Amino acid sequence: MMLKVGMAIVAVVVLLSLLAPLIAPYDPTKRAGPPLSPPSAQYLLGTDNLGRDVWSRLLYGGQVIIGISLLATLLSASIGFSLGMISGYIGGRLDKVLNMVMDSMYAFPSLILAIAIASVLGPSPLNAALAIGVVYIPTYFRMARNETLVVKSSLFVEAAVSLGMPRRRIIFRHILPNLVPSLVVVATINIADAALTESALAFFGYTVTPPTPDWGLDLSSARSYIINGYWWLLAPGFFIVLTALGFSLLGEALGERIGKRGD
Amino acid sequence: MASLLRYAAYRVLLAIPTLIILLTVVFFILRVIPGNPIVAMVGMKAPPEYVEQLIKEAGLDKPLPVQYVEYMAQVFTGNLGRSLIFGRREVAAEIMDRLPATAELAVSAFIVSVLLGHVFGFLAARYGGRVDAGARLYAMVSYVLFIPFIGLALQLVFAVWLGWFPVAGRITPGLEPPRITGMYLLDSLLAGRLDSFIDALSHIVLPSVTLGLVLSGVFVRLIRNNMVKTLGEDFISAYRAMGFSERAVLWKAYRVAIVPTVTMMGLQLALLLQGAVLTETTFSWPGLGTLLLERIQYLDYTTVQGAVVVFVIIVVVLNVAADLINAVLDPRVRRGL
Repeated sequence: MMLKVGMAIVAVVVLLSLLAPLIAPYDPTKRAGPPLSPPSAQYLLGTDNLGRDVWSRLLYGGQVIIGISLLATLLSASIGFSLGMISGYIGGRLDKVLNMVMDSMYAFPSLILAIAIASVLGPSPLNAALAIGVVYIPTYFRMARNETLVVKSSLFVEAAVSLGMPRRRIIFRHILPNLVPSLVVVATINIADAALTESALAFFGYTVTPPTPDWGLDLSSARSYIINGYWWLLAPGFFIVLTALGFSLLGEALGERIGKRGD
Repeated sequence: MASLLRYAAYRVLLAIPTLIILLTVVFFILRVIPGNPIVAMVGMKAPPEYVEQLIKEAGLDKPLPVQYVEYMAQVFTGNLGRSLIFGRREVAAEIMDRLPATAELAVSAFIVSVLLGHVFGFLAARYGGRVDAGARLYAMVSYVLFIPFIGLALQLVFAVWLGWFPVAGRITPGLEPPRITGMYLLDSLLAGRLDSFIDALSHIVLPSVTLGLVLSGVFVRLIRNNMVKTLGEDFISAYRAMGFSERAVLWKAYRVAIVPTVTMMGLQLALLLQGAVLTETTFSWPGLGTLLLERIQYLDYTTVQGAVVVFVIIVVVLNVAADLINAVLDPRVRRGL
């Protein structure tokens, strides 16, 4: 059930944004009608303060948030996971230090760290992905390290060591495959977190520059108009929640399948 | 008592490396990555002489290792430098102006989330089945509620359409109570100003419900899981066999179940603080988060650095506090040294 709903949500959101050029009725960056028109047959979700079609902006904005979130997840997963696995396997002083650094970073609010990074790098989609990617490295590090410690003490690894198998081969052949299921679960759930952080950075103006649509950015421009009751401007916010929910449902369901819960 | 003191000393010592690591991470982000943060922040917008003067004042013309030592010395002596704008106030003073607002918001949101968490978590464990499934869904959905979205939605419904609460802000201008702690709710009570209290309360309802709602999902899960686990233990069966009423049994289980959740509360601090930054922005709440974001806009480098450093200190101190509370509640924690 959870798996199906999660998959359906993710599929819908991804498809809508991929198909944006085909299905968007208007150019998302250009005036399509009178400003602040309520939803109607002509403007499915109404128009914003500049007369741009909210539905078209929503479709194109999806490309930005999903693109940045996936890129960020790829970055933090590859760095955090390999560091955690290697550090956990080798152990020793380096492992102690790395573990302490990662634990400290993990305790700190990731969004505040991301804001600091984004503010010195300057607003751009790539910089936002970098900022988000960096702050989630500890999530993967902790998971990979903990699991490596468990697998390391299992009999088949001990056997491989006593057979004189080289360290690199043990890590790639015996440790890595055992960690992949957890990696998939943690990464799927993490996409939800990355999407929320991306939205927050967009809300503060650190992702794209106007008039390019991005859900968080569009929501922040809606702030000034909500006082007059223009409720349809909240549509991008609803899609942020929906996207994050889709990925968390999917991740949790996958976690239950393989008998492990994401952190 | 002796074991508690020893644990406290140990825990405080353990916090020092964390503090140094986080401060180093901040130093790395704000000074090493950008090469020259002031140029990065001011960009092409300012005349070069002005940029040079700012660089000198912030001590950024020195080699990085020297800067690092100076930065650490500054933080540990509580001297965060002067703001680069706005009458060149001390950064520490700017932060102290804003800190009480963030504390007030965070504490009230925390209370809201713990209340929601306990009620739904308890009900889920007590009734199981559909109630449990509903609580689980609630926990998942509340966690992904994007704060500006839920905040704006609550503003729309309860402030714009129903008119029950003010849309944003912390208090109606003119009603501020005399500053004692800086927390309006507390100060207005201490000064006996009922009008200020009611006004401040009506302003804090929507922001704290927004933030509390988002955090509550984690508590629902925690309380529910701990309750279910505790209800399955032998001593509960023993109580039941002894003929205690179901109510009494549940109460005993609940008291046992909430203890481990206190440690987990410490782990929610990061969520609480980053949520506060978003909530403050959504509700124009004049706290530390809005200070940070405003000053990034105004390119006030020293204040930005100061605000991030204060966030680091808050995280470290509150984590220690959460562990100490846990040690007071659970003797095993302090004996397990």
